[in-house]
Parts: sequence; structure tokens; C-alpha cells
Amino acid sequence: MILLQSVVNGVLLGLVYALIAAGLSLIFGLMEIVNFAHGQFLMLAMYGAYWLAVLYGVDPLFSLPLWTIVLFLLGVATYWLIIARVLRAPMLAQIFSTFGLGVFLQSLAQFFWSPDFRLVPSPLVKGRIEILGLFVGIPELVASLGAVIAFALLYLFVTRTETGRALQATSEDREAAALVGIDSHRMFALGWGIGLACVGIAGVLLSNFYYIFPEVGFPFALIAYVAVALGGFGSIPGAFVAGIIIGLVEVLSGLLIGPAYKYLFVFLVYLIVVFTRPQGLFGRY
Amino acid sequence: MLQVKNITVAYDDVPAVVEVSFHVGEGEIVSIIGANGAGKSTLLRTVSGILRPVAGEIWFEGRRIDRLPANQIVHLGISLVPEGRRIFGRLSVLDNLILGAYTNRDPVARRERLDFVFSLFPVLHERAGQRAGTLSGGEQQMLAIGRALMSRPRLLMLDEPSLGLMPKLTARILQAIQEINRQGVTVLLVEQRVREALEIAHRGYVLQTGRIVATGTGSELLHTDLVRKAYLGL
Ligand SMILES: Nc1ncnc2c1ncn2[C@@H]1O[C@H](COP(=O)(O)OP(=O)(O)O)[C@@H](O)[C@H]1O
Ligand SMILES: [Mg+2]
Repeated sequence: MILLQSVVNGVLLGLVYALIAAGLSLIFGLMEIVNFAHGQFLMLAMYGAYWLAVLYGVDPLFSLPLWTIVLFLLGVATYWLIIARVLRAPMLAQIFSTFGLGVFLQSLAQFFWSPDFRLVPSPLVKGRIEILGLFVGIPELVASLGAVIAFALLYLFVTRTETGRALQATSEDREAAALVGIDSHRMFALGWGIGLACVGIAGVLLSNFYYIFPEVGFPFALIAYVAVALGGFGSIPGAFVAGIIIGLVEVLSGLLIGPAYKYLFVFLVYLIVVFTRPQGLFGRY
Repeated sequence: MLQVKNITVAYDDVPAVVEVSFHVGEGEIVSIIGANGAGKSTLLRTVSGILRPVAGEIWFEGRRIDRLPANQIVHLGISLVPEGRRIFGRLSVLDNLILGAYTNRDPVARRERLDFVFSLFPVLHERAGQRAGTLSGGEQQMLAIGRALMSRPRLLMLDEPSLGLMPKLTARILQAIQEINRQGVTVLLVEQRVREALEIAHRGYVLQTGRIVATGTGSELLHTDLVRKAYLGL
């Protein structure tokens, strides 16, 4: 029973990981740039939900649409103000630009909001329910449901709409896409917008039950990098599966071996995949 | 229709095309022939806006286009079938074609274009739902041409459409190019298969190490010593 309970917890956690990883993977697949500020944007969304709840009494569930849009716009702005300028720069410059942005955002959070741990006071979704003898935290359930919905919408957008197909075409062959009239800068900006919107949704959903502090995004981002590599760089279904696998490995190894080692096993799975299937589970390389 | 005036194109300061001028008139098929590395692809990529010339001008229908990005040049009515096909392998054949009409979202116009492409290459119709990456080389070339036609170009440029194809398929592709031309589309063809390319061309240019060294009608060029010796091995 306790094993089953852990499996459920692992899947719930994994779905949120998957959404964060999807955003990262989308950006990488599109332009081969790793967003090293991914975790800090997650942190921003969490603080956003927190402050609206504390200052104006708006529950995270209701501020979710707002922060999704804000993070989308932040993504677009990040592309035009920073990424577009380093597009042709050496890879190291690209790494420093997003890494530096992350450090900057984190310092900003530390400066304005102090390193204190905070919790959203009495969110709407709280407590837990019993389903078939298993206890499921309602905030966790809501977060994973939200992640699944966001994921489904993302998938439908990318595969079923014209703009989504243009996004896929750009990620497959930028130049050929330009030759049919697709403006790759617009696609890149859109990709950053969507990528950060994913993180925004995840952040707000997490704020319902997670401590919020300036470094909170770090472990999530780290896991997202692993999930992207595991699922296959640029693959969105890959990110989905990898997120769930990582959630499961984390919770199960925490249960069976000890919570202190849970990340060890996450990275162990990663190493095994890297050595046996370097392109990742759904990779195209 | 298209005027290329004295363009020089370089990769990292190394010129690949030097002071090249040529023109393509409305309704023509013009072939540019040359050996591997002569600068043929560089020329077409420059006209299509992927590369910028370091000197010279390119004019299309009275408009200077050498400063425009590729995605805007398509809107003006120039379409390139790139070397190596460059289809979107992970998308379906139909999605590839629809993306080809990215510049024109009118569904009626798209339907019309699609019908035209399917009548030209019925095999694309049969395989419409298939992933483009699973097509054979010849089918991929047909798809690449079909995709380029979807934007309803007035000038269609093709970069070595026969590359890697068997002679029979090459003939099929060249036949399709003539058919497209008969429908009123001007064609600029770049080829290493010199005989075939000059046979279907109204006019041609010979490009050697980045410079144009000869020009004339297709049959004139086929009878010059230069072409016979250097390219046909006669
Ligand atoms: N991306 C590139 N970077 C550097 N040099 C290039 C590049 N592409 C082509 N070249 C060089 O430019 C010259 C012309 O190449 P290209 O236009 O591809 O010729 P062709 O299409 O006639 O075979 C060649 O010497 C080639 O090595
Ligand atoms: Mg070439």
C-alpha cells in the first residue's frame, strides 16, 4: 500500500516536473539555447502568486491566468532584449546571458523579498482526500491536473495549429522555414513566451503547497535539465514521459533507500540513459 | 523580371561569387550550370535572401530585394527549392505543403494550389498523411518542389533538383519543371547535369569558380567548346 501511495505521489510530482521540462525543451528544440534562468522564472511565478494572495487576497488559482500571461510576456521580452542579441554569438556567450539573467533575478528576489521561507496563507486548495485507500494531497492533485491540462493544450497547439506547425518547422530547419515565409525571430519569441508560460503555470500551481524562497527554482530547474536530456532534447512528449519517470524515481528511491539519496538515483537514471541512449528516450539525434 | 547586378558574396571574407550579373525574363527557363563548388547554391541562396551580398544589387519586378530577409522575399513571389530538398521530415506530407502556403492563408487559394501540386505529383496525394521523412528521395524532391509552389511563386528557383536521383527520376522532375513553366511560372534552374539542364532551358549561364564565363541560349551553350569539353566530356 505504501508503495502504491508512493507511486501515486511520484506521478503527481512528475507531472509538474514534466511541465517545467516541456518549457525548457521547447526553447532548446527551437534554437539550441538552454535557458539557465528557467528555475528563476519558476521562482518569480511563485512569488507572483504569493504576493497577490498576501497583498490582495487573490488565491493562486485565480491569479493563474494572469501569471501565465505575465510569464509569456516575460519570455517574449527576454527573447527580444537578450537572446536575439546573442543568437550568433559563441555558445559561451549564450550560456552566460541566460545564466546571468538567472543570477540577476535571484539576487533581485533576495534583495526585495529577503531569503525568508514563505507559504501562501490558507490557499483555496488544501488538505487531502482519500481515494481507494490512498491519500492524495489536494494541492498536489490540482497541480498535476493543471499540468496535464497545460500539457494537452501545448501539444494540441503545436501539432494542430498552423502556428504550431510553423514552430515545429522552425525547430527542424530554420532556413527551410524562412524559405516558406516563416519569420524565425517571431517563432523564437513565441517559443520563449510559451516556454516561460509553462514555467509560470507550474510555479503558480506549486505555490499552493510549496515553500517559496529565492533559491526555490534551483532543484526544479536541475531536474528539468535532466528530464530534457532523458526525454530527448527538444522532444515535448519526451519531456512528459521523462518528468513522470523522474518523479517516480525520486519518490520511490526516497521511500526505499532514504530521502537523502533521492536525487542521487534521479541522476543515476540519467547517467544510465546517457550511456545507453545518448539522444534520450524520444531523441532525434 | 529578376536582375542580378554585379553581386559579390563571401563566406567570412572569402568570396564564393565574384561580380556576377545575370537576368531572368518573365516566362523563361534559365539554367545556371557549373561544377561542384562553382558558387551555384551561393547565388540562389543570395537571391532568396538567406545570404547577403557584400556588393552589388538584386532587383525583382522593379524592386530592390538584396536587403530583405528570406521570409519577406517569399511574399514577393520568389520561391527556392533548396539543395538537398530540406523538407520537414517530422511533419506529414500535407503539413509540409500547407506550410508552403504560409504566406497565403486563404483556404480557397490553398485548395487550388494543393490541387495543382497533386495533379503535378499524384504520388504526394497518395502519401499526404505520411511522415515526409519516410518518402523516397524522388518523392522528397517532388515534395520540396510542391512545397515551393504552394506560395504561388512567379519565379521558382531550383537548386540541383536531380541531386542523388536516378536518370529516370531526373527526367520526370525536369518534365515537371517544364510543365510548371508552361503554367506561367518563370524558372531559374541550377544544375550539375549540364546536358539535361541546357536542353530544357531557354537561356543559360556557365559559372566557374564564382564567375560567369559564358552565356547564350541553351542550344548555343550545348555547342560551345567550353561546355562540350569541360562539362560533357566530348
Ligand atoms: N557555409 C559555407 N561556409 C564557407 N564556405 C562555403 C559555405 N558554403 C559554400 N562555401 C564555399 O563557397 C564556394 C561555392 O559553394 P556553393 O555555392 O555551395 O557551390 P555549388 O552550389 O556550385 O556547388 C565553395 O568554394 C564552397 O566551399
Ligand atoms: Mg550547390
